[in-house]
Amino acid sequence: MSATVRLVSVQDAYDDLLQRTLSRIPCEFGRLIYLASTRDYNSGTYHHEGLAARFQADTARKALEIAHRQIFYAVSAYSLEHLARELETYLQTSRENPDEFLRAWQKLEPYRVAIPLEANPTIARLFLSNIRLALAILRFRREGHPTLP
Amino acid sequence: MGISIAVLAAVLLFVAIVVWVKSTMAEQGQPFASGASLKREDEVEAGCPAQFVTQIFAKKDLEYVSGLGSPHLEKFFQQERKSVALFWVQQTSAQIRGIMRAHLQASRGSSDLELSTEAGILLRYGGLQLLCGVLFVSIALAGPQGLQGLAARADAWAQRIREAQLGFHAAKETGRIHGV
Repeated sequence: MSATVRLVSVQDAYDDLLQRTLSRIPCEFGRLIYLASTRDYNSGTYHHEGLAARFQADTARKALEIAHRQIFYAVSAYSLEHLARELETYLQTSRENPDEFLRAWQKLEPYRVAIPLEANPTIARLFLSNIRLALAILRFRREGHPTLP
Repeated sequence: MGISIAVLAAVLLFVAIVVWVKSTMAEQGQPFASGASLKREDEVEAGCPAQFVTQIFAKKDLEYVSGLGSPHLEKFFQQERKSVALFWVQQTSAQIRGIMRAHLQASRGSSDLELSTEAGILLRYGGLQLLCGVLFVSIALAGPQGLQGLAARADAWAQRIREAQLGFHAAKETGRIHGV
């Protein structure tokens, strides 16, 4: 298979992923968490059943990886105000108890899995720091006083 | 009186530089901090994009947090941003040190070195390391906000050193291809 054909099919898989799956998720932060969840914890490789069925598994993997990286950088570039809004939308769509959600996220830091394997280390650190801050802001808004991690 | 102030300033500067060098060394020992666990050659070597450097040192987020009216949150923000800014300075300094090490190794085997180019690279490297030291101490003392200009300059210098190294490699490869 030529490089051009391969690139075109990765682009097709990427577009398909955006249209069929990611567009249904109401916020960018939710898309980031979703894409991170398609990555195997042990091997770091991405897998999406439907996408792999429509395209080749390797093509689907590449499209997922690219989408993950792009959304990660987009979310990392958000201002703190924007990120707090995104996180609030994500919290609302999760249908979890907000207090429990915020407590668990501050303690367990599950958002660490959202960092792509090959992210720039400074951006990865900025991302983690901003999430910690956004969580503290949301908790402050709910409780009227800051509960820091 | 004037001499004792100068001596005190020199001692303080020396201590600050020792602290900076030690923290840079310690940081290199940590797999996450050094980027080893997240490393992808092209990205790490390209450095942190300027947009993110601006974001780390900008005042916008601080103004937003200050507007929330919680001194605790504001303090938490200052701690977090300071930590990210210091990390960026250490990463930049360590990366440029690595590039210079590789450059010196490559230069040893090269027969057509231009003295003026090499001196320029060395001067820029020395200047950048000094700037990183000043940035590190300033961030540690006062936080990153307000240092945007200095950070942008350090970032631009680091970028020039990266580009010079790329140019050096390209010239070397061309020479190899043409059998020079």
